[in-house]
Amino acid sequence: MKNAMKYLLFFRNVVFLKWAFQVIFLFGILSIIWNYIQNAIVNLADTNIAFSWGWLGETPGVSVAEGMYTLPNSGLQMIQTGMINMFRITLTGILAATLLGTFLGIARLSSNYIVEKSSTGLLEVVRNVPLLVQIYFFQAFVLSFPRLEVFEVGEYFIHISAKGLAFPWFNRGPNAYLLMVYTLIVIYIANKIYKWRVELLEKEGRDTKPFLWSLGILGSLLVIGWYGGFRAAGVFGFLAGYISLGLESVPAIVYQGLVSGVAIYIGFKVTKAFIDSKKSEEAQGIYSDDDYFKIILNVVVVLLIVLLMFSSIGAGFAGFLVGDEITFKADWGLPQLFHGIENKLDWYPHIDLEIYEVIEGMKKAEITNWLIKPGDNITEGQVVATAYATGNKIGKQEVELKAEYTGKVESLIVEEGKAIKIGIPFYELEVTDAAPFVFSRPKVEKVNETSKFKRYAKGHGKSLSVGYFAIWLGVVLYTAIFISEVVRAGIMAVSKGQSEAGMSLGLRRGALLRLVVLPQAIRVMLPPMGNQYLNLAKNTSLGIAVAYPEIVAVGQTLYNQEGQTLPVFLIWMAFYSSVSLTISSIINYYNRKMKIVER
Amino acid sequence: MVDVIKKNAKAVQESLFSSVGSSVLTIGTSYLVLNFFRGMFGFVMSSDKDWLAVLNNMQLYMVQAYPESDFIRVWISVGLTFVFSGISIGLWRSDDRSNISVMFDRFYKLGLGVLFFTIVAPTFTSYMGNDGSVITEEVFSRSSRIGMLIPVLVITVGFFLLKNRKINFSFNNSDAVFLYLSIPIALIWIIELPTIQLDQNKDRIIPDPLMPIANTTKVPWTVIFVLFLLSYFIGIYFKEVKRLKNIMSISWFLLPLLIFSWIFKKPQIEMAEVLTGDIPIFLIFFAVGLGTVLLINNPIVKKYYSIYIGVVIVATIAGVFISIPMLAKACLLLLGLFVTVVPAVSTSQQGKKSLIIIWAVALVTLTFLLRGGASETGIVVPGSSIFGGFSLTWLLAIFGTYVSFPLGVLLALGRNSKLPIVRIICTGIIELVRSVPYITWLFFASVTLAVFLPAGVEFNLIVRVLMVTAFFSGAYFAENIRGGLQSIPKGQYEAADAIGMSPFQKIGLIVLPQALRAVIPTLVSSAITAFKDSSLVTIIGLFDFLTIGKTVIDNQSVPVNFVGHQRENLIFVAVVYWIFTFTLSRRSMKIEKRLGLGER
Repeated sequence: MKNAMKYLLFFRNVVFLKWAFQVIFLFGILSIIWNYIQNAIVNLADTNIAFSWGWLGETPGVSVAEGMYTLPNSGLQMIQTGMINMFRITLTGILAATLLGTFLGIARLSSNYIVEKSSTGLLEVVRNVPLLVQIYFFQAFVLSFPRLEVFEVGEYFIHISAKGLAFPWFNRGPNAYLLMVYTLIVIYIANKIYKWRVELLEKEGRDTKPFLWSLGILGSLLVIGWYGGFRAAGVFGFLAGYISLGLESVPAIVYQGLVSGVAIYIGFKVTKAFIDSKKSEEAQGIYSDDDYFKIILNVVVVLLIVLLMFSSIGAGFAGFLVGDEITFKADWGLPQLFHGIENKLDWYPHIDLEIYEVIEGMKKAEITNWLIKPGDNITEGQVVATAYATGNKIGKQEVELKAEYTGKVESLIVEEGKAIKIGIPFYELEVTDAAPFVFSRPKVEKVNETSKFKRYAKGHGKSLSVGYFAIWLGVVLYTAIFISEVVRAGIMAVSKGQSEAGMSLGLRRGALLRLVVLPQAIRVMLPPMGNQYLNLAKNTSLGIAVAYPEIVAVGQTLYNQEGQTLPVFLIWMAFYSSVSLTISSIINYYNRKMKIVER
Repeated sequence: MVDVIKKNAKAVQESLFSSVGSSVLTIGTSYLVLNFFRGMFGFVMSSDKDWLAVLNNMQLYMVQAYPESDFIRVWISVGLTFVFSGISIGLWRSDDRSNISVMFDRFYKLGLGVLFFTIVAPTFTSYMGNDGSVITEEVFSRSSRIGMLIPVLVITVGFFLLKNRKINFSFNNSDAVFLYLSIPIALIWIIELPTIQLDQNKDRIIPDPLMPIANTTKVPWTVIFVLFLLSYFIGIYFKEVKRLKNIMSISWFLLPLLIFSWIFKKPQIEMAEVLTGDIPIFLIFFAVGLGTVLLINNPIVKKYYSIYIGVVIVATIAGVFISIPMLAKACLLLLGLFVTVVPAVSTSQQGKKSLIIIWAVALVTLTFLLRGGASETGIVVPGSSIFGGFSLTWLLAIFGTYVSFPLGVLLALGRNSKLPIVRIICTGIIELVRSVPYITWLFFASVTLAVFLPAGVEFNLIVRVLMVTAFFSGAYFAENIRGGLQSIPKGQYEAADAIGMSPFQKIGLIVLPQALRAVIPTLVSSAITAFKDSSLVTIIGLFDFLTIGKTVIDNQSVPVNFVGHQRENLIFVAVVYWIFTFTLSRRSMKIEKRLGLGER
């Protein structure tokens, strides 16, 4: 065979042809891309818009309708706001769509004629109308309600107007994050205990009551947590503080080196494993062209990563990680991230208290006399300072500023005799006693005394903007319908013999569903479910149609301002690609975990 | 009779009230559904809705600003589509027959439904006025309810009696389509609805005078219906001619091209260009094709035939990048396809003869269509495009599928290829395109794409949208087709290798036909998604069907004020989209059944 190959003309040689074709193909693709890049360079030079990332650090002269930073300091902060807004829809949407979809899927399998037919009807309607039309309709529906201005000032239970939707809600207090983390830990512990009891049951054969055990411990720990035990979660804040301190001293080059090092290590490991596998008896140490190609590709990819890490892109990436505030003005860096965690999960939360509207029509306050000093313990409602309130309508009046929380005064931010606007922090407090969550009803208030415009008061109930409502309901309903199909197919894929076998073992209906049917159905359901989650995440981009400021809408505003369409498009691409990758890797992880272990 | 009632009562009890939980579910769901219907009825009938905003703007919805003087072109397009459908229904007429009582049963059930909803429809409805107060008004008076109940009751009872009679008369299922269609055609002559009229001061006359629906369109619709019927009989008459079916399939593919390039566009042809450009190119390519077919059996030609194919393919690829007439590029592509098929088909004198005819017809069609597409349009409309409203939505949906499908096949083959570089690049393209939402690609088309094009080259926004749609839908098609490719057993490839097929023959004759057949349902659902997604162009400012309903009519204040009637229009838009997608998905389910997929 080998001798025969020698006498073959090179253009008759399959191996040669194969690689020649591929090299030409690669060359063709690269030359097309190069051609377009050249065009772009020429065109951009003509229009005097140089491709740059500088606008990420500059202050955009626009505001964002809702979200984290409504008046962003930098382009990056604006994009960050868009991303967070996108996640608000995606995460709550995935949860709601899964619940609704599962419910509808089971309803479609119901033996009840009316339940089955009406869920099928809903499916046929929602599935066959474009999502955008539905979103527009929900928007038009809310906008058809009267303006907020025609309603009386006061508290409502559920309120809907052209400004949006408001309903009662548990609003987060200063301690909310502590309680949330505490609850997560408690759930983890309860889960571990359940597993331990089940193991014991299998080992010793006696009824160890795993469910009762875990439920009891969960309940008692939660009760302890509610009455103050949640402060234990402050350990994480404490640790995060030290981590943040440590990370601040790490220079950017370390990250560049670290990522390159990891890439080289992984590349080496993978290549070595591949070569070792070729040395086995089956492979007999013979390398085909594809094998050589694979090894070369590994080396090239690793080299590319290392090169990238030490280029300007890598430097920018490391700049993100060290929290280069001067360039980006956003709290993205690792130190800032951990510092944020430290702040949110402190044993006792530290908050900056803002000047609030003591009497209607007040615009500014001039502190005349501080009644507290750092280190004082104050209680809610105590007078902390006296001040002159000033405003167009009220002139100058003396008022008392009261404490909003019980706690220990950390520092006074504003000196006596200085006038500051409403909403500016004036002292820092370590809150010692505050409910983690406060239930409240929505409230309609005037924007200010003189204005004829009204708004939903902040911190009272929960109000959804028209855009948020329309896009949320749109994507949830649309995805839930597709999820219901997935659930239905999943349950139908479990063969009847399985449930019959379960029943013949004497399992009750609940146990049968939990132990036999669902584990098998979930295995079938997971991959298409992941696709639906991906679709939901991508469909949130339609928020731009109803003026909801998610990342696409924010990006469009930015490039209308700055003219930098290409960088914005690259950001969109990078963002959505990483979201897709994250969701699909989570789904893949569970998929692998759920897989049948075959003999 | 008593037995029947007893039996039915038992069935109802079993399916609705079998247990306490089931009863609760039944009552709860019925309550929800009934309330939803009553709410919708009140919504539709309440006096703050102006459905004339929909009825009066039908022209805008269909063709936007297309000039009225050239409406005959629109009607010809619609008519041609119906004639083609008629011939196809006739050609593929199934022999399924059903008894007339089936039809009576259908009408009886329809009557029952109408009767039920007439009874439960609300008398009053309430909505919130602009000042926040709740307005309650009568939407369905007692007299009109009784006026509706009595005839419906009579008709329903009539059909009930008819359906229970043993009438020995059956009809073909395809014929019934025409019977059902004749009902709306008759109705547009009879039923009268309010139409807007303005007096001398250009004020609206209220109450609006009644006129037959579709006052200006009833004659064309009737003519089209008659043509539809005639073409159906023609189809039945030529049912036995096998070749006609093949010709019809290809014609269906060419019809949209013909409509959008010649009929809708009204091309202004310059004879000088035709004489100096089109005819010589046509003659040269025809001669090349003719020569290939005639000389194929010559031993010298046979020996170097593979080199010839290579030259043609290289010329085709090179032709894309150099500036030669569009027609020459397309002809090169066609020649590339032709020369690969010739050796397999031209083994007999008969085969050679039909090859030459096919080559001539294909070249003529290509020249004809490209000349129409490339010429200036004779239609003058305000705005950038002669396509608007529903015609634009159709254009995007059909051409989006046309360009993305072949690309999808190529990408799928590339991703399934054994060549690593090809595989990596194709996988990269597919995953990159799919990971980003469609709307960002549309923004790419509308603002960023121009940056990458050479200076001086400018495409219409619609063309740019079609370019990105090709890649976007193509990537989704590719993933579906890949599923089909993976379902083909290895034995098929090995068998093809064993009988000495070339790689192209293997893919074209063995792999693709089986792979595509296996994924027809998913391909149809992808096409439906593409159709629904075409509505997204409204965000980048194209005047498609949705934009008309959402923005254009809502901003219309002259001559009649329709501001603030967005919801009615959105509901109408939703209903139209629903009808098309629902019909398409039902048809795909039927095709699936007929192909016997999944049940071997």
